[in-house]
Amino acid sequence: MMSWVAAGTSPTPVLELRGITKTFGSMVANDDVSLRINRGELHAVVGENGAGKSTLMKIVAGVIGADAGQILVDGQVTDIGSPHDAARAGIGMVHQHFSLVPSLSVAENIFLGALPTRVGVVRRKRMLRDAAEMADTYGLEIPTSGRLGDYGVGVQQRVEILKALLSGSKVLILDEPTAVLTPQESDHLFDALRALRASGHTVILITHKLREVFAAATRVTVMRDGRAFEASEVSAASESQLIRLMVGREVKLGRPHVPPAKDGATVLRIEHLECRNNRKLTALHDISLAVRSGEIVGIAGVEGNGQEELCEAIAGLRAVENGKLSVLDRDVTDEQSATKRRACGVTYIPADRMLRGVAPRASIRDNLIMGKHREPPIAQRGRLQPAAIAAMGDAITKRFNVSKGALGRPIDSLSGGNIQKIVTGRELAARSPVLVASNPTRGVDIGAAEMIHNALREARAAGVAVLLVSSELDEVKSLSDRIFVMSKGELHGPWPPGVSDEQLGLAMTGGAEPVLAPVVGVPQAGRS
Amino acid sequence: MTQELVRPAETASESHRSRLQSLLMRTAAASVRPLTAIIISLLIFAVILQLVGYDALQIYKSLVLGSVGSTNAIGSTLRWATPLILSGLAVALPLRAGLFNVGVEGQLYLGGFVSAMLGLHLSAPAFLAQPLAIVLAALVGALWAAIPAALLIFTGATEIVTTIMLSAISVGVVDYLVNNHFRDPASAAAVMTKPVQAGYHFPSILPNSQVSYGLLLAIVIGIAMHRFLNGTSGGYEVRMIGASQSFARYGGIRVGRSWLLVMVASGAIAGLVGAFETNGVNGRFISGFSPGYGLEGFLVAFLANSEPLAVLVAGLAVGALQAGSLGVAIDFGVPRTTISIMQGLIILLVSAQLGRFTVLKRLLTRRRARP
Amino acid sequence: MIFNATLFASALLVATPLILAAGGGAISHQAGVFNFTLDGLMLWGAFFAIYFAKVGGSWGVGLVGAAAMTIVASLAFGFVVIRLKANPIVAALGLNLVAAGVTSLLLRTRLSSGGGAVSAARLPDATPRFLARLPVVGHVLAGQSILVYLAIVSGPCIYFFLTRSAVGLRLRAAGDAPESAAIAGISVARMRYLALALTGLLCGLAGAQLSMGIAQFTENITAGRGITAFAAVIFGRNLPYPVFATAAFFGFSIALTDRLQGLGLPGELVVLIPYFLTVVALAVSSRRTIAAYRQALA
Repeated sequence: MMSWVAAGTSPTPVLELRGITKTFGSMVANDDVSLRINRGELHAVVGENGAGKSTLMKIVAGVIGADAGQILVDGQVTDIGSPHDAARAGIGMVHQHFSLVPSLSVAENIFLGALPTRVGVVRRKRMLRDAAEMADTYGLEIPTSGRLGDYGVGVQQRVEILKALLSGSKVLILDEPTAVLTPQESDHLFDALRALRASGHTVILITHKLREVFAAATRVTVMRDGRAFEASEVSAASESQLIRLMVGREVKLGRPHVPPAKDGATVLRIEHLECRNNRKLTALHDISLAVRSGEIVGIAGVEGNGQEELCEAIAGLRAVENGKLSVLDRDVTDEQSATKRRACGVTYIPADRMLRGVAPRASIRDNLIMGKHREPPIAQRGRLQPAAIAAMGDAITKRFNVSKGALGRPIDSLSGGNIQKIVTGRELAARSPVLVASNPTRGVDIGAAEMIHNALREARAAGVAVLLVSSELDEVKSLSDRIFVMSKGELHGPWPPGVSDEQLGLAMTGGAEPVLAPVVGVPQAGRS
Repeated sequence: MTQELVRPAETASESHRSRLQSLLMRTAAASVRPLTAIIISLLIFAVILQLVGYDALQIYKSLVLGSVGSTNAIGSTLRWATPLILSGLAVALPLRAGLFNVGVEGQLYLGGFVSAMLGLHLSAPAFLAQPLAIVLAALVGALWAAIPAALLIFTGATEIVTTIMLSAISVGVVDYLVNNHFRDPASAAAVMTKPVQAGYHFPSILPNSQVSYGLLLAIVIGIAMHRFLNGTSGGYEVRMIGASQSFARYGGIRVGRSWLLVMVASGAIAGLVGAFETNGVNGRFISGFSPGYGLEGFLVAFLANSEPLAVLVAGLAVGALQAGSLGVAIDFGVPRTTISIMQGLIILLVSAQLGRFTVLKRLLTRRRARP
Repeated sequence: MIFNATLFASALLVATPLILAAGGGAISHQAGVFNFTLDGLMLWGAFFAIYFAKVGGSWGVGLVGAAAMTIVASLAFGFVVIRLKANPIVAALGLNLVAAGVTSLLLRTRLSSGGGAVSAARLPDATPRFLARLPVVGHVLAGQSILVYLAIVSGPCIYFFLTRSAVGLRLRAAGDAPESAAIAGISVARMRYLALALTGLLCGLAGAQLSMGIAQFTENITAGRGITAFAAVIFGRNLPYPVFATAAFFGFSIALTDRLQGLGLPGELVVLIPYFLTVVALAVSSRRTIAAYRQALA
């Protein structure tokens, strides 16, 4: 599939993974992953959310243990059972969600695992001096006083890196480091990484931003659905190839596309929407979009580009900074709550179903009626109607083939696919004019995914305006009447469903960046 | 379009049976924890008693006799069950929404004070007086609980601490007022008011006992709470907030509103405890009349896993314990306060098993094959 | 003349158990364990101080016994909350109940006192003569026990412990960010047990001051002081010096109201001011401190 340039005689890789497998319950996070990292390189591991990159790196860093497989450091099989072991093996991880203590100072955080003491008292001056020295060596600026929690993520990340270096790491793993940085901070980071490599360190970079891969990495490995593809030299790779590996699916859920039956009226209109994410940075820039009755508009794109924020803004779970939202020609921008948006006719299948979509320990019955629990037929004058609830339960479980059993069971006793079926059934039963579906088949088995897709198509046929957001390109292409791509908070498109993957991939990487042409003379993998 | 069903649909009776089965299984699973807690604490308490030189067996025998051994004993049990059931209900309702009303003690104290004040200063015929006292006590308790609720909703101040503080304040203020302004001059030793007017005195419904219709009211409230939680939209919202706040918000539930509702209702029920203890049992306001109903409410609620119907049973059980301990105190000279040892142990063990229980629960539910 | 040396002397006396217990509570909260056991532990310590003083014949034995027994009780609480993962609020209610019941039972049975009080050794005067002879300060310090001096230095000591000692930093890490601490190789459970042991020690000594300070133990000897100490911890946002100052202030105001009793200001009401202040403080500054506990309790 991918070509790679054979190096000369390859020296022992500084880190090698053989057959790493890790399962969480029924979900296989890492499936027989093998990887070789060479000394002094900056190795990028790319893939979608849920591809297994973070899990793999946590195994390498000793935070969690693998079910099977071996880790070799400098050619020796090494048992890494704890972060301590990893540190001793020279591996240090800079976590995506930092492992820092906000109330302690910068220096205290750096040396937390190894506080320099004299008779139990911390030697502050020595700590500060050592910290400053390290910061100088690697060009990582850090403040000398104050609580760590008072500083921004840029500082926090540098502290994390220093922490890893302090424990003598020769191999540094960074998990999505630029997710929280401004462009300038990112540049500083990459300068620092370059300096690190120059001093003999090896860097593994987990990222889903291909721009970074091409800007800084020497070799790249793509992961998808828990499996890793052969690594390739960055100089020999093309963006579209990487994208296709990242988001493509082997099993095609596609069906021949049926055009929308009627040219419906615009139901959902989004005009110049602006929104912030949880870090108070702008997530959506001037988004404008219209979804008509009886059509499915799909938004493709690598996760983290503002899709989640867009869905939440429409569903009333996130404040709108600027812009206008209308449903059925009625301005709903000021109805800033989930309650009100539901009342205005917006239903939402959330991406994080276990957190938002269901209450895991509550019964299936309880989860089923959320959102409809105040109106007939589920409730009459405030009283819940068991017969109506049972009927709803019957209808949904029958339609989606969820095995009957008692509806009183806690919903987390069902598989992920069945849970998602219930969520989908519930939101569809509302028969609202607008349905927003975010990654509706993530973590769902093939059979359930197909059922959910059919349900979405039925909704479309019934005149619902569906906004589908998904990082699965095949899903978007097989369901949508029009396709947009979201990249860095901006919307590109629309394209018809027959558009090529390359075009979409181009838009996903920001479009404006030039695609590196493959080196002439090296055999190209054919289009899969 | 329609999928072929993999299994034929179950008949109605089959689904009823499986529902009953799972209900029984869940009740059994739910009972394991409080039962083990009670048994273990009985054992530990027995050990403590032996250590200080009492014959544990004799004491337990006396305990049983004192609680169910005679009509008087049963009367005593029911008398104690009333405030315990009410306190348990007062604690259980907010707990279902994830809130801790640790201020029941203060709310019931206010309720008792207010109903005593009415009973001392407002002349009214019995059929007016008693409902008035009940309603006013409930109102005052509700108000006192509304304060921490409002603070939580509008400022984020945790109700855990604010209810405790307000409870201490109300107890202190009431004690001060009774001690300095409403004290019965005839009683030198005890700090208490004069007896309330005859009309305000709740009559007992069981001969030779102090059981008033407060017990019936408690049972009615318990059933009503059960119906509310399980059969109404409002109750559904309360339960879902307790199950997952993020899910509740996603579904459009107004969390703050539900929180206010449950806290106000909780305070009202707590106020009732005060009214019935003061005007009903004691006939006057006695400083310190509550042997810690606020805490015991938590004991009852936890034993019952915050299920209102189970609270009725748990309140009865703890009431039996209380009644029995009186007999023990008389027979053996063991101070009444020592029964709090057992209660404390039960609370500790029940809350502890909350951790282990999930393991047990998972074991029981995992046996069902994943569909 | 209200504000004279006698007032400050009694303020010191009243504040001492508050300061000690509040210090213990602050340490516990800094380690991430919500701790409402202060009153129960104080009661426990007060009883065993008298008990061991009587049995052992000296105040020294009383102190050691009180400290030891209260540490054990606090560790037992820790076991229930840390290992058995009990809800700390409920477990605290349970512990307070058990403490009240056991001390009452033992009072009747072991110390065979019908009336409910028992006398034993008294904490001796620990003020060196040269200090006692100083003009004003001497008056304030004269007759104060060693625990009073301990309370005075407890503020800086706890501050130093939490900010400058390696153990203290690790303890704070375990409370502030347990996952981060674990990744750094710190045993969060061990830090929490340590914190609770310290809480037990301080509360035990606080209780000892209450009972051996007057050479008596009665059933309700704490009179809600533990709740006041808890209020000081919350008001002081778990930080050593603010908690210390708050506890001292609460102690001072209680002593003041005792003085003002004769002047018509209702003492029983003024002791409620700490609770009121705590509510106000929470309303004004809530967000962080206890929101984190709710997360932990969820």
